[in-house]
Amino acid sequence: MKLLKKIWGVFHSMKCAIVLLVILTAACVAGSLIPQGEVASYYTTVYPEWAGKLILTIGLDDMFSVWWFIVMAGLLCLNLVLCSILRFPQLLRNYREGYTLEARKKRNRPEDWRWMPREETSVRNVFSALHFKPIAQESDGETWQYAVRNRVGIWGSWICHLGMIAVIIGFGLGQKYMLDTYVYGVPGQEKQVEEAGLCVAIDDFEVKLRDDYTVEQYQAQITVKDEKSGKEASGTTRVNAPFHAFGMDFFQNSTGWAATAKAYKGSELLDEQVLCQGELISLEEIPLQVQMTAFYPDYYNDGTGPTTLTPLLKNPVVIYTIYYDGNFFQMDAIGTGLPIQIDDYRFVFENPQQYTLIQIVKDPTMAYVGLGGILVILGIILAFFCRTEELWMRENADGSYVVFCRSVKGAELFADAVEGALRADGEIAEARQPSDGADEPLGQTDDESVLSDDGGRKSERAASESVPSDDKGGKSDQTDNKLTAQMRTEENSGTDEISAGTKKEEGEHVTDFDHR
Amino acid sequence: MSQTLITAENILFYVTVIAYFVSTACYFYYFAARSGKAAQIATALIAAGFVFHTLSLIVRGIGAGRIPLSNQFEFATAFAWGIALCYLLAYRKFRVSAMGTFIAPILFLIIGYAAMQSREVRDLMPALQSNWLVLHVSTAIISYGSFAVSCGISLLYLFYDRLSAERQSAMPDKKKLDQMSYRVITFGFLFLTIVMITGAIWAQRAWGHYWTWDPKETWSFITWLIYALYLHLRINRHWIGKRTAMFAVIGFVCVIFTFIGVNTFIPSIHSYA
Ligand code: HEM
Repeated sequence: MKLLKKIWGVFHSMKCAIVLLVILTAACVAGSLIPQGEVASYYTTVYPEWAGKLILTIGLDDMFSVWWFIVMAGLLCLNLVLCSILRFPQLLRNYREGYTLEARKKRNRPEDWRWMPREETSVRNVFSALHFKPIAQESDGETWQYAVRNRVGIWGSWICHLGMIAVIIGFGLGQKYMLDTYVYGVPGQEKQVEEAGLCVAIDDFEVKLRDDYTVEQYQAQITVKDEKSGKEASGTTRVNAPFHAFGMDFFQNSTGWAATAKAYKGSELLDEQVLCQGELISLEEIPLQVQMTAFYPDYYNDGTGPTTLTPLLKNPVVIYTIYYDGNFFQMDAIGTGLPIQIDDYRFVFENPQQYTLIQIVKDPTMAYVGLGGILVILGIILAFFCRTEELWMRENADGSYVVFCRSVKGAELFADAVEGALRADGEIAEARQPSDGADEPLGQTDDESVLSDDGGRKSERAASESVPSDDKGGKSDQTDNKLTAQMRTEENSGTDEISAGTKKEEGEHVTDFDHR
Repeated sequence: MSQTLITAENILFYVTVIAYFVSTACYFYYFAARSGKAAQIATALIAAGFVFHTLSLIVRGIGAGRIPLSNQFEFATAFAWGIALCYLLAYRKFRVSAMGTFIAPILFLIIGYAAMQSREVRDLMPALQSNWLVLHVSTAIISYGSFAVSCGISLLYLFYDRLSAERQSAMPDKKKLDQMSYRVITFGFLFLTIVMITGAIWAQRAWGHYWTWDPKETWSFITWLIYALYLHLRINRHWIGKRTAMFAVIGFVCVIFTFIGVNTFIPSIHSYA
């Protein structure tokens, strides 16, 4: 039971997530560097023998479909599901109850910043300057102002995780249940696509060329007939603009050359077929086959190998291969319309034209993956750009104020913004004092301080953390009038809190995660 | 593209390269000699270079009759533009000149890489004629630019302990540097996510599959995983500071590999860009 609990504990932990992410990253690196899907002998010859064997044994040659990669992705998904389920009630509670003055007072945190400005005016305006809407509250006989903004931001990571779950499951199921097939042919041909229950007619195909013979667009006109319902749909498919019909997408995928091959015995026409590059025409009466191996519309060969000068049909030549009884017999080049004579048989390639290859895809889970992607983006925006931040202040009996602020994402930077607003309100005149450099809005003059305009503030902060002192140079003197004290710990923090705090200070997220 | 526009683009581009180069030299001088003036000149030079850079991209866009984001030169120069933009934005926000010492050399190296590429303006092959591609590449520029800036800040963080106490006190403390780098990474991470999603949509519309584990896709996914790891490791307090700074640097090395390494070492359908 204990062991089970432990395993459960590990399973929904972030540590497990990190280990899985590291393994998946390493697998992706291997999968991208090792060529995928080659024949086994490739790995044993290109790599040292032991490495080749290792690649084949653990499936690094088929990285993204190997069982252990899928198991790791599945575990990551399970990890995310568990973590999301467990965090939901905590987040909801935190969302509802965690951002109130009472909650803040109860859970004094060492990382909450505070200042004690002397002048009243510089305090009240800070809320509005930072776009906070404070609510005045009486608590324990004291007057407080409390404001929180972007509370919804705490849902960011949760929504992002939800999106990732949808993406992983959607992608996995898509790989398994997706219909992915193709047809190819020349205009006028009609092809059966059994897996899709369709018949695809290629009505027209056009390769639009520019003046320099580069391709501007490939465009096919097709008619798709659903075999079951008998319904038809016609449309155009171009690269980047697929045709959609019957829940499927038809992509203009690629093209190549085709020609009509005719087989004669004497003057008798035995067979006539449109052959695309790579296809064969076979005779029934003898085991003779002729393949259209390659095609050059504007053939040119200077001895280094055949090539085409233009994509236009200026000097069309077919490279053909003859097989007899399944064995290679002869390979040669011949112009279209010219006969290839083998004993009594004659073959002619005519009417060269370009064929189109149309890919047919039906991915039933793509919408879920898309939705997951949107959730991931939304979650990231919420997590990082709707940062939950709190600002609150106490009016002391003597009329002075204490201002507090807290953020779990970049606490120091938020404290800087609050501090800046605190100072700016009372010090506009000073800020406008002549300044030597763009870096120093408050008029520092020594060169070194150009490293950052923060330099002055930092030394002032460090000094004020110990004893407020007049013994500071230049601008710190000025700001010190406003900020008499500024500490990282609350007055009423117990010793335990502080010692925990020294650890937690390193990572402001920790406390938040613990809490949630 | 007309000869006048080609000349104009060339002049603007090389003025930019020179501005970034001199800026890098000024940042080095500033760092070595602690000259505040040099830092100001360096930053002003990046800003001026950025203006020329923007003009050179606009001129190329007008000449090509399209948004110039479609081959290795165009993407490399836009990548450098993204770094300059992100640096200027980060500088406006954080006002830390010292980070420029580490970011300007990256900027110069990337624009130097761009200068080595073929500048020829070519018409687009059909697969590249897509608004999704434009969105994909524009977000990539912002994302990569942010990661370059976070890498620069993290390098400054890693160097911090070697600086004299006096210099340290004139800079934000390490904790703040760490948080700056983190904020910039979150920005880059958001954009990288958008890059992958717009890329997936483009691939789906062009080739019928939104994800095929092509090396370029895989490497952008690896980069994304590295930054996701960074974000999660931060939540674990022991990892904040030096280790996360190193992660930010490794993340950027992955960005560079995705951009340059994959094209150079691994065959891919993305070979044209
Ligand atoms: C590739 C998959 C993942 C992505 C893209 C992702 C994304 C994120 C993001 C963007 C954050 C916000 C980080 C921050 O606030 O600094 C986050 C936080 C977090 N993630 Fe993930 N995550 C993934 C996997 C996981 C897994 C598998 C777990 C399992 C336990 C997990 C657990 C957490 C936890 C506990 C937090 C902290 C929440 C908080 O304090 O706000 N993450 N994640």
